[in-house]
Amino acid sequence: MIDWGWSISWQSVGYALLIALERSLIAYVVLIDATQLVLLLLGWARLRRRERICAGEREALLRSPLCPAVAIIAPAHNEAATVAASTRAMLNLQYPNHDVIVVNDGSKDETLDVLIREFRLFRSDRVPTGGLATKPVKAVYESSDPVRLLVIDKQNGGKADALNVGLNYARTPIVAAVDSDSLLESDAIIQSVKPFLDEPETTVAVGGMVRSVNGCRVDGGQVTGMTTPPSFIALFQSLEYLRAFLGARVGLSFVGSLLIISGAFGLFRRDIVLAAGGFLHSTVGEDMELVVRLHETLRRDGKAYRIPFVADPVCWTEVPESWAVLKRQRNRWQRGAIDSLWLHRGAMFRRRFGVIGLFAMPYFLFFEVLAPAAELTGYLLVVVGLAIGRVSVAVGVGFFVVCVLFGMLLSVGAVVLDELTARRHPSVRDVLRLFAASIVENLGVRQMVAIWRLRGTYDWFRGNRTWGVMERRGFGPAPARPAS
Amino acid sequence: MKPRQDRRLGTWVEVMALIAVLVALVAGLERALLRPVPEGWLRVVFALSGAELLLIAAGIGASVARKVWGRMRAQRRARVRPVVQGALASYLSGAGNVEDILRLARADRGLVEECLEECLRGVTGEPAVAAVRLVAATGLLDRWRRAVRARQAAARQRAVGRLALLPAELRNDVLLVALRDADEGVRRVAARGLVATADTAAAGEAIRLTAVRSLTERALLVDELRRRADRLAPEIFARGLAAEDEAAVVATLEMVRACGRLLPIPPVAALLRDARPMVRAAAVATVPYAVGGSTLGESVLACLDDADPRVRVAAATVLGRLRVTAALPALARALRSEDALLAVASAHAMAALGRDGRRRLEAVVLHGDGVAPLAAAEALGQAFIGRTPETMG
Repeated sequence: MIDWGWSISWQSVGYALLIALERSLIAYVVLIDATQLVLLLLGWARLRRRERICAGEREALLRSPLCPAVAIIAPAHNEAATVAASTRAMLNLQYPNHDVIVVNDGSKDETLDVLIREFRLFRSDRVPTGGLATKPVKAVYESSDPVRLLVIDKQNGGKADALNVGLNYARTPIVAAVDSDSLLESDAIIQSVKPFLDEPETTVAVGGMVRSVNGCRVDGGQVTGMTTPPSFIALFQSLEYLRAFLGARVGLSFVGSLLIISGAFGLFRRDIVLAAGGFLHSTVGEDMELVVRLHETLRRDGKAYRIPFVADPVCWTEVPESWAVLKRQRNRWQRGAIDSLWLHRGAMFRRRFGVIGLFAMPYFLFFEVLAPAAELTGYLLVVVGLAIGRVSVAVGVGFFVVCVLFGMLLSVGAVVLDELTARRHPSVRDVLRLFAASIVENLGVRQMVAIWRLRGTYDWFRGNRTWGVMERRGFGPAPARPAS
Repeated sequence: MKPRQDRRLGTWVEVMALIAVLVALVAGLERALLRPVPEGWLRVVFALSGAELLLIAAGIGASVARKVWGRMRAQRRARVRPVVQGALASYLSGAGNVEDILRLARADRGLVEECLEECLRGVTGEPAVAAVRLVAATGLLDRWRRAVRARQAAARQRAVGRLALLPAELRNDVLLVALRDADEGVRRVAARGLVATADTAAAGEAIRLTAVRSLTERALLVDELRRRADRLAPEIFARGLAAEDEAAVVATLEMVRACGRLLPIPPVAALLRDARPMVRAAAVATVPYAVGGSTLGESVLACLDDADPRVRVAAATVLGRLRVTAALPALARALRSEDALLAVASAHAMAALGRDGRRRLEAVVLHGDGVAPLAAAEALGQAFIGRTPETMG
C-alpha cells in the first residue's frame, strides 16, 4: 500500500464538502442579491427616463395612418367564461389599425358557440399567407358586424400551434400574442407599438407589463377600478408580478438581456417570427423559447436588433386563487424556463452571442432556474450546521433574517418603483396591503413556491411536458347556456 | 367608526405591527445572542439586516408620504383652480388687472401657467391677443424661453409646448433650435408647433428634419400637417422627394399618403422607375394620393412585372384602387403567382374592377389551382359583403 504521507477520513471529507458548499452558497447569495439590486436600480433609472407619449400626442397617434397594422392573436382553449368579454375588449382597443384573430384550439366547452353567437360569425374563405406547419384548420369565421374579427376553429394542438395558425392568417407587419383570458388596457397597443415606431428596422419584439386583474372592477371589458386582490394568494402574485416586471425585466431590457416576453402579452414582427419558424409546439414555455430563439438566430446572423420591455402598456390577467392551480402554474413555468435554456444551450457562455450568451442565459440558469434549489439547500444547510454545531444559532438565524429581509427589500423596492412611475393604486390602503404582503410573503409563501419550482425541475428531468388545468372565474357573469 | 376607516386603520396597525416585530427580532437577537459571540462577520450580518430594515422602512414611509402629499396637493389645487381661472377670464375679457394674476402666480406659479396654457389653447380673437400680452407681462415668455435650455428634457418639452401656442414671431427662432434637441419629445413638440404656423420655410425645415427621424415623430407631425397640407404640400414635399437619401424619399412619400387625400405634390412618375425598390414601392402606393395620379395607370401596370415583390403587391393594390380596367389580364396573370400576397392583392384588385373582374374570379374558383382559387374565393366573399382589403381585417 502506498503511503501518501497523510491520511483522510470520511468525516473530514464530509466536513470539507460542507464548508465548501456553505461558502459557495454564501457567495451565491451575495451575487444574486447584488445582481437583483443592480437590476432594480437600473429599472428605476430606466423608468425615470423613459419616453412617454403624453395625452395629446396619444390622440394624434391614434388618428395616424402611419401606425403599423397590428393583428392581435388570442388562442382560446375552453375559455367560454371569458372569451366574449376579452374579445370585445380587444376589438374596442384604442388603435387606428388592428384586427383580432381568436384561435379556438379544439375547445371542448362552448367557446366557439359563444363567439358565433356574440359576434354573429359566418364562414369565410380566408387565405393563410404564412407557411408554418400546424394542426388542420376546421373553419374560419368572420363577423357580420363591422368589426375586424377573425375566428379560426382548429384541431387541438396547444397554445404554440394556435399562435402559429394566427401567424399564418395574419396579414399585418406586427402581431400581438395575448391570452384570451386576459384584458388589454385600452391604450396597451399604442403604448407597446412605440418601440416599433421609434426604431422600426431593429425592433423585433416588445414585452408589456402584466398585472393581476383579481379584485379589480371590470366594466365592458376594461378595468375601471384598480384595487388589490382580496385573497392573499392573488395578493402575493400581484406583488410577484410587480417584482418580476418592474424589478427585473426593465433592468434586463436595459442591458439587452430580456429573455422572456410574457405569453399573456407580447408584440412581435411577423416576418421575423415566420422566418424563425414560429412558436415551438414541443415546449410548455413557448413564450420564452421564442424570445431566446430570436436572440440566438439574430445574433448568429449578425443582425442589429432589439427586444425591449415597456412598462406603460398593461395586460390584466387572472391569477390563480387556489394553491393547487398556483402550484401547477409554477411547476409549468419552471419546466418552460429549463426547456428554453436547454434547447438553446449552444449559445450559453459563448462570446459570439454577446450579452445573451455571457450574461442573460447564465443569469437565468443560475439566478432563476437554480434559485429554488440553492435557496432550499441554504435552509437545509443551516439546519444541518445547527445540528452538528458547525453554525451557531445566532449565525443561522442571522443568515435567515438577512435573506428574508433582502427578499422583502426587493418586493418593497418594486412597489415603490410602481408608485414612483405608474401610480396605479389610487388608495393608500392598497399600497399598504402590498407592503404588508411583501413582508408576509417572505415568511412561508416564498419557500413554498421554491419547493414547487424544485418539483418542476424534477418533473422536467422526468420528461413531463403537460400544461395542467387552469381554472377561470371570468371577468363578469358566466355566459348563458344555449337552449339546446 | 365606518367600515372603510376601520379597514384602513386595521391595515396600518398590521403593517406597523409587522415592522415592530421585525425590529424586535433583530434587536432581540443582537442582545440575546450576539453579545457572548462577538464574531466579526456576524456583526456584518446584523449590520446588513439593520440596513435592509432601514431601507424597507424608508421605502414604505416615502411612498406613503408621497401618496398622501400628492393627494393633499391635488385637493388644494382643485380648490384654487377656479379662482385662478376666474381671474384669467376676467383679465381676458378686459375687466381684470395683471396684478391679481401676479399675486396668484406668487402663491402657485405652476397652476397659473397651467391655466394660462389652457387659455392659449382654447381662446381665439381678442382674448387670445390678451392672453399673449399677459404671458409677456407676467414674465412667463422670458421664463419659457429660458426653460428651453433647461437640463431636464421634461422641462424643455413643456416650455417648447407652451411657446408653440404663441404667435410665430415670438417663438419660431426658439422652435427652430429645438428641432435639433437631443430629446425626441422636445423635437416632436417643436416640429408640430412650426408646422402649425403659416411660415412655409419653417414648416419645410421641420418636415425635412423629421423625414429622417423616427416614425413616432413623423406620425405626430403628419397629424398637424393634414390640416394644412393643401396649402403647404407643393413646397414642403418637393425637397423631401428630391432628396438623395432613400429613407428620406420613402418617408416623405409615406407622409403624403398619411395625409389621406389628393395633394398637389411634384410628379411621382419618375420615382416609379427609380433604381431603389423601396422607393418604387412607396411611389406606387402614393400614386392614388397625388394630383394627376389617376393618369399613371399605364406606369403602375408596368410595375406589376417589377423584379421586387413589394412593388408588385403595391401595384396590384393600386390598380384596383384606381379601377384600371385595362389591367384585368395582367392581374389575372398575377393571381396565378406562387406569391400568396401578390395573389391575394391581385384577387382583391380584380374584384374591385367590376363585373368582368368578378366573373374571371368565379372561373378561377371553379377551375384554378394552387393559391389562386383560395385568393379568388376570399376576394369574392369580401366583395359580396362590401369589404375591401383595408376594412376586412
